Amino acid sequence: MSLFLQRLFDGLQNGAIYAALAIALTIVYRASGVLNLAQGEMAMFSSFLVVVFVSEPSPATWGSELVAGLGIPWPVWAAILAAMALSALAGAALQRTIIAPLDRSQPLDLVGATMGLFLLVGAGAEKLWTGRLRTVDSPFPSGLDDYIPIGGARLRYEALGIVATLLAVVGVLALIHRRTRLGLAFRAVSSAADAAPLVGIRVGRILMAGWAIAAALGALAGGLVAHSIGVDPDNMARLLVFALAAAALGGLDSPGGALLGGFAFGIGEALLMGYVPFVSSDVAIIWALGVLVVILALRPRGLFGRSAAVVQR
Amino acid sequence: VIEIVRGSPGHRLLQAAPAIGAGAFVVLAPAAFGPADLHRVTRGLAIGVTLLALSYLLGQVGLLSLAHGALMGIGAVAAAHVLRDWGLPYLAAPPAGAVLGLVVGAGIGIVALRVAQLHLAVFTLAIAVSFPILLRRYGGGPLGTPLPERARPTAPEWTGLAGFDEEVWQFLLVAAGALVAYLAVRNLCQGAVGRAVTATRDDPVAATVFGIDVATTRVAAFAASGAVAGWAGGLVVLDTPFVIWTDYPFTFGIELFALVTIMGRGHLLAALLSGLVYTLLPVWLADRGFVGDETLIYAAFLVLVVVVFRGRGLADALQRLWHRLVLIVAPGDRSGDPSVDDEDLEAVVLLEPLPPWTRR
Repeated sequence: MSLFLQRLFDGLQNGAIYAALAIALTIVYRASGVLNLAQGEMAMFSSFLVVVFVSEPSPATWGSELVAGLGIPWPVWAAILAAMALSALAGAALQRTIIAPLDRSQPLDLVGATMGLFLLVGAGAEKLWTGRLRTVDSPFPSGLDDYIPIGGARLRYEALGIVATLLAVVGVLALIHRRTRLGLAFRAVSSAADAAPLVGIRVGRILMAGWAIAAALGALAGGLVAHSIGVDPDNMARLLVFALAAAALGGLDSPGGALLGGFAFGIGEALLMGYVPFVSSDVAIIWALGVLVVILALRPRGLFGRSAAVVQR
Repeated sequence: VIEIVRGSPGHRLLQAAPAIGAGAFVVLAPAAFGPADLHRVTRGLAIGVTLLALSYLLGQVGLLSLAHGALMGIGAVAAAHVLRDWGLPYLAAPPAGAVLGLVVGAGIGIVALRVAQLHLAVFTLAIAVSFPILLRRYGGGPLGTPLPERARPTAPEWTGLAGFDEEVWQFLLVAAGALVAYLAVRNLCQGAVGRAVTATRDDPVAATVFGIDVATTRVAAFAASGAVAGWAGGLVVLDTPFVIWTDYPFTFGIELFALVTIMGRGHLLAALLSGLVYTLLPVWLADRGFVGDETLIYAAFLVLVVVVFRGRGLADALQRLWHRLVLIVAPGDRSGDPSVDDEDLEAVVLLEPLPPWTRR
């Protein structure tokens, strides 16, 4: 039982990260119909921004000398917030300059644009930070003794903190979505983008806000996971696959579904690795691929999505 | 504007120019390039065949894939298997790759029937990410799968090339394989099969009304594209004595997608040649002080420019410029109006019956 609980706790942390990226994907998809395949790379870039803000000014870390006047190094939390703010600005700018001019009825162009962003952000990070693996302290206590013993298993403060942070952020987003004028406008654009301008909603700004929120959420995920997996230009691809699978499972236009999907994949991965001897961390990706195939074959809209995912004939 | 009369010697020379250019390239390349560069050219041709398959899929079929790098790798794995474990001669490598590529391509095609394009992007991206991980795990480990010495292509005596470096024979083999693939894909784009595929892309409902089985045609087209990508994997094995996961990172499929977008979807010759750009341009730029990441940054900018400004790619721009400069006219009509216009030709070719497998 304690082993099972331990696997469950291990899966929670990964699940929270998958969920954060999956929710970011669904926010953009729901508002604009664009599946941002560069979301993982953007989160990776944001985690490098965290590195910049927590580093001593040095030529070895590009950007740290540019912000030397701001009194860096900052605490990790402040660095993550700064990265979220910068990422939100960048997300809004990318939406305005690259995504807004696209014809949304041309999926090849939409994918081409996000793939262009994928290459640009990835190669840009590689160029600026020379691809060296960086490490960042955890924003939560992460020492060997920092855990709560439950039923013989260890629920680490770090995992608990990441899950709690994610749930808090999702809760705030849900409140904004349901209780504010911005949320109302967002829902209007999601439901009927063509009709929304007729009631005075500035669709372009709402879409920019969607991209900004998604980029900030990605930055939060990147910042939170930076301690456990390191900051490296290549380390978000795997997370992106799990996030895409989670979003597809929940429904690409359902943030709630993405949250559940993220945790389902995180916990499922941990249980598989714990109980199936030949399943390593790498091979566990097949689990994501397998579920993705089954979902796409049997229920392309996911568990909670709308019907737009199914090909129109 | 230069007017060239259809059927004149000048027109025939123009029509033969690509073949003459390709022949000259094949003859001159072994002399013009050193062994290392010739190896890059050979690999570039094999990658060009994968780009050909992808360009066909994106341009003619209208479906997208980010997994063509993985499909090429799957072809290489199949080729390595038949050479190493079955003891077949090296010429069996491309067909073996094509067979497995066909099967996997058909599988993806079946999924493509069910889902919208963006979901297909997700699915194929997941394949692209998973493939190198699986290959590292089950395909010989971090060092890859070496091929036995007997699987190394060497020129037979009768060719008169036995005394040359082995790279020359490998280049000629891969060039021949690339030619076969090009002709096959070009044939797929033409005639009744080509029109059936294009109809499913442009208007599936109308295609159904005309008796085309849209589902079968799409799956067959995806399978054909997968087979060509697998064939390319078999060609790579002729040139490289091992199959290793580092040759097929998930970004490979994305770079192929980007390159086809830059060059123009559906431009087959441009796709084939852009394989050479893929392998030679970074080296050429590196010799002039550019580093690899900068090349990728410029490529990404080009992709974004093409997509945002709704361009159709470099090859399309060059083709339009060519059509502005050179006008092909009918005999006896120097005014620029062909005696048989394109619409008449379309009407004539539509009378040709569709192949049985495309019909409902």
